[in-house]
Amino acid sequence: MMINNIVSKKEWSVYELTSYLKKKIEIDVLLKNIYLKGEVIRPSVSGDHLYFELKDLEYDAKIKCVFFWFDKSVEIKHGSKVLVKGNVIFYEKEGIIELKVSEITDIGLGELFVKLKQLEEKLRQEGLFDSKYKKEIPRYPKKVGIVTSKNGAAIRDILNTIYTRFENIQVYIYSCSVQGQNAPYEICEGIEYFNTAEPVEVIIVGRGGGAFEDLMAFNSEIVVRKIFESKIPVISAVGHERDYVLSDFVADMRAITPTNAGEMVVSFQKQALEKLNECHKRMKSAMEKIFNMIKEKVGILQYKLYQNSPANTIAKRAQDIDLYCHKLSFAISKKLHEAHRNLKNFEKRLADLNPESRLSVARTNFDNCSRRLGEAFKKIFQQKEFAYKVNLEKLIALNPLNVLKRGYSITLHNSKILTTISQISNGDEIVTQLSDGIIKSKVFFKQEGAESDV
Amino acid sequence: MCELQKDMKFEDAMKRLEEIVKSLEDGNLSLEEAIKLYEEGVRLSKVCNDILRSVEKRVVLIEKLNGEYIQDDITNDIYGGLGQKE
Repeated sequence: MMINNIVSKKEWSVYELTSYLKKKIEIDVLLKNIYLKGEVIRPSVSGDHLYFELKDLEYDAKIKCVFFWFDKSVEIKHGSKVLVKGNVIFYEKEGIIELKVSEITDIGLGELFVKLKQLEEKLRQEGLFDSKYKKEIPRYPKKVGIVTSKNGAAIRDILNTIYTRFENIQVYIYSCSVQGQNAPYEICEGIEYFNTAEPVEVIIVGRGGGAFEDLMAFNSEIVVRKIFESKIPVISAVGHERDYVLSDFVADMRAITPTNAGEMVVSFQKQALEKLNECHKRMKSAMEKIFNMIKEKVGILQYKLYQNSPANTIAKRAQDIDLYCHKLSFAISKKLHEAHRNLKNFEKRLADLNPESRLSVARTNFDNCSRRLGEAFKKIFQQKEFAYKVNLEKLIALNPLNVLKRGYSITLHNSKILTTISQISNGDEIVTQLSDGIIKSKVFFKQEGAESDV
Repeated sequence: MCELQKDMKFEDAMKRLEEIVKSLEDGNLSLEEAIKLYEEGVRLSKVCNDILRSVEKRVVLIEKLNGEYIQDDITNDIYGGLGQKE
């Protein structure tokens, strides 16, 4: 249906094409469960899946392979010669063909790999990889030679690395092929050129990453020998860290990447430059510190000098005098103040002791006392008067004269009151006292007994 | 050209410079000594700097064409003819 649509069209959309191809491949039974023999190129594991390329053992042909949930017990290395079973599938979104592997069998190392191993062993036996032959890489090279392709990514990486870190360096690039049949010879020419025509201090030989066979020029015997013969130190910088080639073993230094090689030739110079700047700064600040310390010392000395200068001594004395004056006046005023206070105190006490006041107090007391005396006297007088009056009354009541008034009389003889007749004798003169006068009589008779009828 | 010796000299100068910096930082020097050392340090740092800066950036491309080596100074146009295609 869709195919009919397509046939009638002149223009295809990408999706139409990829969908068409997918269908074509999926319906082709020949592409189901096929067996392929080849060499594993750059295997990489991602999670539980194995990705690699399978290279034809004779021709320049490759196909991408994926082995989902592969058997991890089978170790698949770069260069392994394997037999795989799988289905060809087409990814319409990416437009790529892949072999979806279901089985993989290692049928020994790739031939190439075997040859390489033999060569490596031979060269090692000869001592080409011995560390005793390794030359020192100059730390501060001014002129660097690079043997690589002018079209590769490696040269850009190297130059970027060098010139972003350090400007004062000269780079001579000998451009040559780095893969293919002529590559080994051209690489050797480049190394020779820097050893003769254009002397440099260090040579970088290398290229960017690639498939195993793309790096083969750097495994070639002539290149290895040329590097070994070079009078100038050589840094080998081929592919990535995991790519090992024979030039890495023979070189005086192996860089894991071209970028790393660039770092090697400038890192010391960059560090030296940084160190120089740092030293300069530190020297300056140390000097400043020293100057400041000395300045401080001078300052202290100046201060001490000033402190001990006559002018300052005088000023100090003047200050002392001022201080003493101040203290003195303060003391005097304090004394005055005290005296004043005492005076006030005494005045007050004197005032308190004033005789006038005592006099007035005494007077008051005296007045009080005399008033009380008068009152007491009066009281006593009144009491006495009262008693006297009472007594007088009594006396008046008891007055004998009053008895006389009632008719009684007193008879006296020789001024003696007669109480009995025995005191007198007949013929005696007697005086009778009445209330209002006396009678003189002579006794002519006396009789005992009370009543008489006289 | 004895590069190694130059390197050695350079490294010696750097070492001496670092010694000077340390002594100056210790600060147990008289002013005269410090000034003397500082002058030496400045001299050394100039020498080292001159060594480091002794060449100008230069990028030369060498290609063999018809059996002849052609040198091309591409300093000002490094990426004009480089790394354009793999």
